[in-house]
Amino acid sequence: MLLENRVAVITGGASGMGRAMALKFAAEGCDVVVNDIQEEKAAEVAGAIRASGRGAVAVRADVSRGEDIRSLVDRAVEAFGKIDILVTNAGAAGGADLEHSDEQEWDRVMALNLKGAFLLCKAAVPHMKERRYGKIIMVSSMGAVRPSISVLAYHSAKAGVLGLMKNLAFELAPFGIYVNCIVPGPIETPFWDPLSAGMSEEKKRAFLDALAKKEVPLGRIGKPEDIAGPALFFASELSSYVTGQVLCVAGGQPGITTDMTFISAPESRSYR
Amino acid sequence: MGNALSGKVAFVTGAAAKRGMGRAVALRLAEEGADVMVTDKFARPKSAWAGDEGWGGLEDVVREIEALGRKAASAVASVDNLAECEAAVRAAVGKLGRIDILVNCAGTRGPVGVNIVDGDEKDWRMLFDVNSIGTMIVSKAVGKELIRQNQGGKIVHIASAAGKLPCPGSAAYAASKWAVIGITQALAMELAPYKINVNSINPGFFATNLRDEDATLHSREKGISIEEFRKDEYRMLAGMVPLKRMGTVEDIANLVFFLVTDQSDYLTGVDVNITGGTLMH
Repeated sequence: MLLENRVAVITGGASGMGRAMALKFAAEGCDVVVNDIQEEKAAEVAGAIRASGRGAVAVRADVSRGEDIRSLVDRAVEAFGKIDILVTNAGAAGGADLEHSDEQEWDRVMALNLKGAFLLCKAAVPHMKERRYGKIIMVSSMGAVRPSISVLAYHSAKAGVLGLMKNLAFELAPFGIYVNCIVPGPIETPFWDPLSAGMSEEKKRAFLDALAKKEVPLGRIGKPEDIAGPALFFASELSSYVTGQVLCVAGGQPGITTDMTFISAPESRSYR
Repeated sequence: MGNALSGKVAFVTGAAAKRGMGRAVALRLAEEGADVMVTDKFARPKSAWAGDEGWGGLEDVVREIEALGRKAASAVASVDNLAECEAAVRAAVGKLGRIDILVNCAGTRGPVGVNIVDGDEKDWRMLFDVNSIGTMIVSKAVGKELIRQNQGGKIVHIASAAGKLPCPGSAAYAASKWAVIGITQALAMELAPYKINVNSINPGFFATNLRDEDATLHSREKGISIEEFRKDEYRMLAGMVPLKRMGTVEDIANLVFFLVTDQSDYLTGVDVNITGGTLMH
């Protein structure tokens, strides 16, 4: 039980990676505040955790709004007395390549994905400083590390998260507060549904498997549970001397795949 | 005592030093349920710490693992010697039945405070032999067995933060550890089809026996005791770390444990800094 007597606040905890982290942390002894704008699903997750014997509450909050964040943190402390772990997982993609990007969407995407993480830390850290203990886990994106498609607003926001994480890690280490970041590779969550929209379940599986074999060294698409293990590492004593660290949980990306399509394709002959 | 590694067999190199990462890793994996083969170039390496005079090396580590209720085996093998490593692999399989995990803690530091323009190429070749080619050789010897078994596996190589930060006076050490990171990345891609995870870690400032040679030499030069030298060094180094302390071998065992369990199954080809925040890239 790596998180006995700990309290975690997980944003975007209603589905996908957030949900997997909430369930994993609870299984390791943690009480969980499940935040999301999807209220019903968040309540389901909190209910499942309570049924397993741990404490959990679902709290609605839009992490692009400062007032929502402050009341989320107040609610967490009210329910469980403290905050040990904060996972700034809530986010959503948006934006496009340069030609198709616009200022309004840029601001919206930044507010949700980057400013939200900053505001969550601003609200939660005073509570962590009180106890000289904290584990903050941020979520970035492969697009911030190795873009394979240009999505300027989202990838820039996620790159910003890396800077935020490192600066906070540096600033808060003397207070016993650790700050680290996960870069997920291709993880099968509702986030990717638009990609396989309109496909039957069978076709979707075949599509994702083919993509994985081509793009992922370990040859499979990731599951939300694949993120939960590394999150547990960052949330627990196992990361006792690790702060300011990025973990690319991506089945071997951004390494070269075994297919190495570009290098073996006839078109690349003149480059070899 | 856990059972996350029940049924698994770990092969840990560089495990004989009393204050070393290898011994700490071997004991932690045993605590978590693994049987362990421990190897080292030296059966009974000396420790320059006061009170360590009676240290029995590999034999003592074997006894400690068995006291935890696990099976243990040992072999004297230098990582830069393929025949010795292959014999150790055969001994591990013979005595413990299989190998699932390789943690390569073998390494040497070489001269400290010697600039490149004053350096001796003999020292450079020695460092590359042990730290870099040794990583290749032990990966080859254990890797072949993992491939033959065809049941996946976990490999962790100990590189160094020195591999990624400027190290004036220890350039050979730094370069040899950069090589470990490069080997790890290539090996991860090569072994991915066999579902073998390969990652490396980059320790920052740790007070292990690796520092003994330098501490002995430079404390003598300064005319102070080795303990005083270590205290001064601790104060200086801890001050440079955001977490305000040097690392411990338990910190290393914590990270290595994570990297060899199924909790890190989707993680391969990465290097993890374990520096208390000193290195963030």
